[in-house]
Amino acid sequence: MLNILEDFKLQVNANPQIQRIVKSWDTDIVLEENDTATSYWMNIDRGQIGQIHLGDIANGNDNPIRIVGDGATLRAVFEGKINGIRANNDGLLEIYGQMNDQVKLDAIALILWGI
Amino acid sequence: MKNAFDVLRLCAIAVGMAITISCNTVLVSLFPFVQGSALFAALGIAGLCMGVIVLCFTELASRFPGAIGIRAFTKAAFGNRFSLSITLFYVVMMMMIGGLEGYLCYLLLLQVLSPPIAVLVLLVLVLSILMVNLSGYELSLNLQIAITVAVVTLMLVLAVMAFAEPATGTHPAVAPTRIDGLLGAVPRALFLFVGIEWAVMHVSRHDAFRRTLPIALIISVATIALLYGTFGAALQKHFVAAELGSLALPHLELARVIASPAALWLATLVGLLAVLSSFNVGLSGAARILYSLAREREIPAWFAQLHGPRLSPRNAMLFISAGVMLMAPLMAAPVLNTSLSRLFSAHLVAVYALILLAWLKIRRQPDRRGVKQPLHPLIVWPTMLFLAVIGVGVIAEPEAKIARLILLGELAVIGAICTYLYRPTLIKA
Repeated sequence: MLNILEDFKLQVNANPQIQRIVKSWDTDIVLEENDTATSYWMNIDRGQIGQIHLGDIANGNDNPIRIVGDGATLRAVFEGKINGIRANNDGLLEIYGQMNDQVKLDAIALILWGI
Repeated sequence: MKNAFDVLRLCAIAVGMAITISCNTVLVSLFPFVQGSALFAALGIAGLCMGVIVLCFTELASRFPGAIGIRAFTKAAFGNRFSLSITLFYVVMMMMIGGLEGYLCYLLLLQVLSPPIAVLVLLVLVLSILMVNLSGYELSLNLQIAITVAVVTLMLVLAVMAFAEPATGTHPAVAPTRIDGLLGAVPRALFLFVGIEWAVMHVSRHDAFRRTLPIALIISVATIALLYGTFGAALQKHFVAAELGSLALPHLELARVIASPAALWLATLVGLLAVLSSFNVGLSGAARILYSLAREREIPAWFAQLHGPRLSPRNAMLFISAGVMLMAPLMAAPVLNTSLSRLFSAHLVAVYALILLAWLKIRRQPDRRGVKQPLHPLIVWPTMLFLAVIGVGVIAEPEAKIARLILLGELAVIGAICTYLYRPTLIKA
């Protein structure tokens, strides 16, 4: 999973179209694999994905975007193999967070993979 | 403290979506069926049904956090195609309510402005809300909270002013309410709560499904029942039942009876704020449904186009706004005007009964995800059957011919859209 997230980070940070729409975006994203009880944490600072860690790191942000699903679904979402909104409406993925943050993530998926 | 603010925020969204000036119009449509204390009985029964509905909504939403509620629940319970039909049916209902709101707002503006200026002001108001929503969701949420608090306060002030005035005219004794009268009033009373459930889309923490959201929704149901009960009692003090049923803008008529310039200003302000409030939440909510369906590739990708730094679903918002503005003049047609409360009640009861049926189906599934609410199928089954009976009753009324035709037309169009979207193609997936 960490490899997939690192690859996702490279694609997002290098894509000028994505950087234009997320340039002032500051947030934390916590990914939780509910079948393995493993968490990953990503920090986004002014649209750039920074550190990616194993584990849910408390960094002062008590309202991060939290995405919960089984490991296979989470990997498929961040590899661009499945549509996050469809997975969410099908109950495969739980998403907690502000609506505009969810829309930003969805827009990234649309630009990167066209899904 | 944070939980209290969350409850308040969710209450503001829920109540703000439910309070509309069309609710006042529907409220007076209850009086041919129930008067006096029976009004409170109808509101109480509708409130209890709504209590069950919002708890079902909360439990179902906790299984699909972040998803479009009605879409996700019905898809899990009934399959994709039927879910798409119900979701579109719901969006059409929201656009019709928006159209009625726009028309009533125009009538309100006509009290103080000439017709062309009233149309212009209405357009400016709708476009202003559209611009606020296009600029992002956060601003619209803060605006929503402020408007909701203002509308609730102003309605209560207006009711208190009406109670303080001596009753006008002579009132005949209230006839005893028959059971069929009560059954006719409940689906219309249910309309007063429409939209409360949209608050589930604004939950940002999983633990909020356990206590914060159900508490907020139950408080919202009680607030609305109390608000309209108080307002209905104030109206009954000054009008006889026969007069009340024909009032398009009852809050304005109440202000006229009080004969105070301040009351008239309050009534106008209540109307305008209620329109802004419901259009604001309805626009962002309905647009999000269309956006989500487009991203699922169920409807054309045009609806998924995003705009601006906050990535608002521009095309979906423009579509909803245009639909509302097109429906508004249709509401003036006498043939439609007399069927509206019946039509809206039938829509609403059908959607809510299906949500309860979805809950019953999903509760039986072995999957234990989500947060269970203190509900038992022995409560939900009778509520669903009750909704089905009163829904059929509304449409079976002898005067419901137009409403039946409109419903049939609507179902035919949605059926045709879904059939087209799922047409067999030569290209294999």
